[in-house]
Amino acid sequence: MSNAETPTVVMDKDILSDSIGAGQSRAAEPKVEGQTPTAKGGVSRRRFLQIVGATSAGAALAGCADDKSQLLKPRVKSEGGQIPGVPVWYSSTCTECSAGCGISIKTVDGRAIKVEGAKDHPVNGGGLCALGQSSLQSLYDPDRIRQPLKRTGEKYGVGQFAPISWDEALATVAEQLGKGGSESVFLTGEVSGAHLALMQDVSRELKIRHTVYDAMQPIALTQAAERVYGVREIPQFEFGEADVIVNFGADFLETWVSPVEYARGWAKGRRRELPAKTFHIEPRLSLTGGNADQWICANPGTEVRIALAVLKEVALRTAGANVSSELRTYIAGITKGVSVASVADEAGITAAKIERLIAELVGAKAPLVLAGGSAESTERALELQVLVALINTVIGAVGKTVLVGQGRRVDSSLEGVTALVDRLNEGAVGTLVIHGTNPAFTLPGDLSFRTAVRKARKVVSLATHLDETAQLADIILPSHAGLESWGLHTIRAGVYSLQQPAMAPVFDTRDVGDIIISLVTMLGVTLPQAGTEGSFRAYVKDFWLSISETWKRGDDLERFWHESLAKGGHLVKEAPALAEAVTVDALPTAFAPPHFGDHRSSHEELVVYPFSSVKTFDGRAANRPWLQELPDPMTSAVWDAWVELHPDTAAALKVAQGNVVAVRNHFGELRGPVLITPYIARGVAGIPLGQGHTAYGRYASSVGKGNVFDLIGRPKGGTLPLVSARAEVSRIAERHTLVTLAGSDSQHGRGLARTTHLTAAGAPLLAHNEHGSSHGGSSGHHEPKQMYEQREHPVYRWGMAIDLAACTGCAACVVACYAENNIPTVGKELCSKGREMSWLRIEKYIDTEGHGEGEEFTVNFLPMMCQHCNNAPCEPVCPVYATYHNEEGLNAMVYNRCVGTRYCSNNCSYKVRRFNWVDIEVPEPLSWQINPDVTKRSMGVMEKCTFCVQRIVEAKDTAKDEGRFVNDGEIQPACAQSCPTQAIVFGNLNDPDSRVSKLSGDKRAYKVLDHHINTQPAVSYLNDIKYRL
Amino acid sequence: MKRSFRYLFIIAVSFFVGTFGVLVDDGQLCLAGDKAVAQAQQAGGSSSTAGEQPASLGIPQQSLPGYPAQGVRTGVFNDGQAALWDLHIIDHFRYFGPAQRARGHRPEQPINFSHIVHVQGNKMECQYCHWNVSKSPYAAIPDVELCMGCHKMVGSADPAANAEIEKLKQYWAKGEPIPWKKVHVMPDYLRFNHKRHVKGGVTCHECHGQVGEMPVVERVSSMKMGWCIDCHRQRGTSIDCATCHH
Repeated sequence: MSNAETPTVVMDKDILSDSIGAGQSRAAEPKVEGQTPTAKGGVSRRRFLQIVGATSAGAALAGCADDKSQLLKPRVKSEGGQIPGVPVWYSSTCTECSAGCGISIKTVDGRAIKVEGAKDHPVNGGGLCALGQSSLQSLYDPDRIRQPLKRTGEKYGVGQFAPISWDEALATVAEQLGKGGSESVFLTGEVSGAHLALMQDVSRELKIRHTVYDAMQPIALTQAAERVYGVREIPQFEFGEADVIVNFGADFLETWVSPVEYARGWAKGRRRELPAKTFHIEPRLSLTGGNADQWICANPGTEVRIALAVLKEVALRTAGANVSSELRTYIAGITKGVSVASVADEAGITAAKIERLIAELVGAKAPLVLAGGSAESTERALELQVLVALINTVIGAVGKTVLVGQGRRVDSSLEGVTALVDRLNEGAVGTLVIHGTNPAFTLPGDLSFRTAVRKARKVVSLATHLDETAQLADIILPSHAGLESWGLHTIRAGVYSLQQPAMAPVFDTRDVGDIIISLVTMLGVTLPQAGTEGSFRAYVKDFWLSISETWKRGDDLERFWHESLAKGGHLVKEAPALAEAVTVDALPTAFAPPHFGDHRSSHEELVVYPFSSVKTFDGRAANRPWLQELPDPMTSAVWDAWVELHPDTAAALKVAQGNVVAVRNHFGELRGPVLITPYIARGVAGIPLGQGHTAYGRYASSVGKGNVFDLIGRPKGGTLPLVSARAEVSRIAERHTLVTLAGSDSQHGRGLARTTHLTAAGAPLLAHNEHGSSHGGSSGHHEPKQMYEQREHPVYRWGMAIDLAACTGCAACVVACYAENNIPTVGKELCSKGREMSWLRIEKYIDTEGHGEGEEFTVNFLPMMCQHCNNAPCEPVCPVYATYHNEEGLNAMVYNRCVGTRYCSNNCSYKVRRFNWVDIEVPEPLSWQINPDVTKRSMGVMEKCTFCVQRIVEAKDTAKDEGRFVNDGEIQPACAQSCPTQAIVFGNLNDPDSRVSKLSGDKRAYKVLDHHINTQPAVSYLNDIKYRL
Repeated sequence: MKRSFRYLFIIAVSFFVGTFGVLVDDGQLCLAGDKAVAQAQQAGGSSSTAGEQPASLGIPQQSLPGYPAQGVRTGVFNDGQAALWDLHIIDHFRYFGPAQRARGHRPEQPINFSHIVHVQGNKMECQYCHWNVSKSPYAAIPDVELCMGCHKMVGSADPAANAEIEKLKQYWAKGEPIPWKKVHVMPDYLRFNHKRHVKGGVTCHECHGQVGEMPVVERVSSMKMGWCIDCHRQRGTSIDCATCHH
């Protein structure tokens, strides 16, 4: 048997078992009460005296703590040539969202410990977002369902379940499905490839209806593409080719469609000699907006009007070169009476901004216009998307930056799920099988899915977690997490990617494909593709072999299959040609801005503006401590759900930062602390999506009071109307601590995160150059004369270069660092005391410095980790030599030598050192993720970024085996590896030909604070580049 | 009060002996415990056979050909230079630290496996069973499958030995790993790479002693940092902290 196919047995290894501790396994506990993941509480006086006593008894006693009998259990059988302690990498596909990034899963002794982007994958090309990185915490989630469950007690009570056997559970479900009378429905999340084929087979054979619902799918985009381009799909956007990007609210660097792929393409455009320009139109400054050259803060819902004005002007100025006369007439018709000035007035912005945007668009060689995110979550989403598609057609973007016919199909359908709710209410649904979606949480509150689902005869959930939907089920057949499952995904037309399990199941769960195949087999249906064994693995294999027939190597299909699995199994086929021309008849004619609920024109009625971010997505990842503790990219809030208000709005409502407000409309209510930010439109309440779970797990259910989806009205026109409701916002007497980890938004003129400003024509602005040289920065940089003898680095000097023009601040690196370096999450309480442990943080600066009056400012993201200074301020103050500079330029930290004086942290100019104030208990099996190559630090020890020294040691080890030096690019710290835009480069500064040396010598390169305090960091940053438009 | 005097006394003696050891003995300490071993060796004769627990620490008089002569640098007495810093004299008093970290730690194993029979009797190389020490950073106890590779067929004339083989077969039949007790318990903050050392020409017995002559495997080296550094200095290899601590 090949090891790629056979996940290995989890081996009891001393290092792992050490780290896990002697905690008992809670194998048979389906329900886990919601508890906050804070560390052990304060120290009592008695305990304090004990500690002091123990300390004074003699430091020689240290080390007695691990005095426990240790076993060394070997494996019973060898596993296909696997060597204990040597990592095995499995290629697979990430299933956290529908983007289909290729991943490589690092397993050590049968346990997955790290997920990384697959290097040569057509989608992500090496990077992986924060959500994908954190999929490990879904796999090892202590709140996962551990065996089949049957509801006991009250009907649809909350989470009262009893374990049953697989045989019994499957037999019950099969019996229900086999019963005639009423229809059976499969409600799934967005599926493609083999999963979709299986669902289609099953629904055909058993007359089961298949409904798809995923809140994050851009349904309006596909509908507009069908009407304008003739293909119902998400067109393939070539961000890398575009030179002007006009974006109506799509958070394409965060969660929208395929963020890693788009970020990669976007960064490619930013790296050109004349970088691409990006305009972002959104009522709230998102991460994507912050990365744009210009953020246009239009009133919510007015995007459709702006698009109309843009279309009119663009059509006039291009003189209809790219469109038919029929379409020209249509455009003239719909844009009649629209002017830039009137639209700007409606949107609350200056007409000059729209004029500038139009001018850039018309002058561009390869423009790209897109709409998405919250802008396409209104009732007018389809109209907006049609306008955007028309603009793309008119300016000739189609075929250059918008590739039609090569995109991804979307099966999610709001109409489908609304119809399902209606049929449920009629009592027409017999058995409802739900998998991969959480409609009880992500369907609009107005649909009342939770009440409707009670009318079904039996509700079967194939969930991984006891989320809001699974709690409504009668029977739960727990499915594998993504890293344990088989699959074959159609990422977009002609691009396929294989998914394979990286390890044996953590719990008594089954692959969702296997469950469905077992069910249909019990109902007497044979699926020939599932083979004699009747497994989904066989089904996937059959599918793979059938789609890759041209790739067959003779008749040795078995070998081809194994090779496909080993290399990651992605396949790019020729995409079909472009479809037919536009038919004007199908296009809408009215383009009024959306109407937000009942206008009572009271100042307390705000537009509810839910937004998703890298941290929360739509709530699917809420039970992952890494993501909960990840600071929100724009507000730096952790472990919370908040209500963002403009200062003027807050003043009108008489609320202050940290006050708790209730957001109410007639659909529902939520409560949350106010976060006042000038980077949101007036009259808007920005609320993060995905928090406020009532179930799902201990981490999710402790965060947020109320779910934003509950405030949303019934969908009209096939899109999720996230931005459609007004709500009353009023202060309530409640206490709540909102924890934000941000320091100052301003750089106070210290030149920490620098920007080269360009004029619209691409010439650097003089103002910046003065700015740079006044700090001894990039241009005219000279090495200052040193008083002391400088350190020598005989062979290697490790260094890093970070291109701020490519860095989007997406925080994938932060989560990768948590995963690689066993960094504990400390919980909200300790975060509020500034005791978070992240070795790498993204500093956000929103600076108005150097700008004129008004709204103009520059947003900078600065990944900040240990700078490995040559003149490190931390080193001379350590009384025990626990931190020192080594011969390879690393500022090393010896944990076992550290006595915890914290002098180093106090003296660090970059505030990157973290102190272990408490020992963090990690519940099993979350602790299985621990990287055995990195020491797990204990209480009283200082820690910080090591440049992933374990990877350096490993690479040197390999190089020594092969009798050579370490090659350039061979070592990639976790942050550099995960970066979707490859903004971080690591290597040997002693080698003048290494990439890092060249980048460090770039004219944009500077070192943070070096010019002030001569710390000589090993990390160079390259100025961000922004147009000043 | 009395107890603190004892501490003081031990520390004072440690400093003295350590310094003395460095200056006079150049890394060859021979202390009370070791002397007892040496005496036992002289008195012991060659009577120790498989399965028997000898009175001494289990080192028979005769060395195997190819192995260095005893008492010189067999790993038993090679703690030296770093004594001053490490105060490893305390090992001899078993006063500080867990018992597993002390030299002479000799846990009772679930199977009374005899290295003497396998190494001396059957002339097996260490890496025949411990084959992955040169491939993995981690030490490796062979899979049960590897043991069974021979013991499906091979038994012993000795009924006591056969009883031990029977235990092995039971583990195999049940599909359970053998719960061996760790002899060399190392702290968590240490990253020791077996592969690098084996490939670098460090022989097994330099650290593990004459395992082939031990009826029950025991820890013969202190394996304290000073002991590591000592060897690293002698060989001119890295003594950077981050090499092992990260």
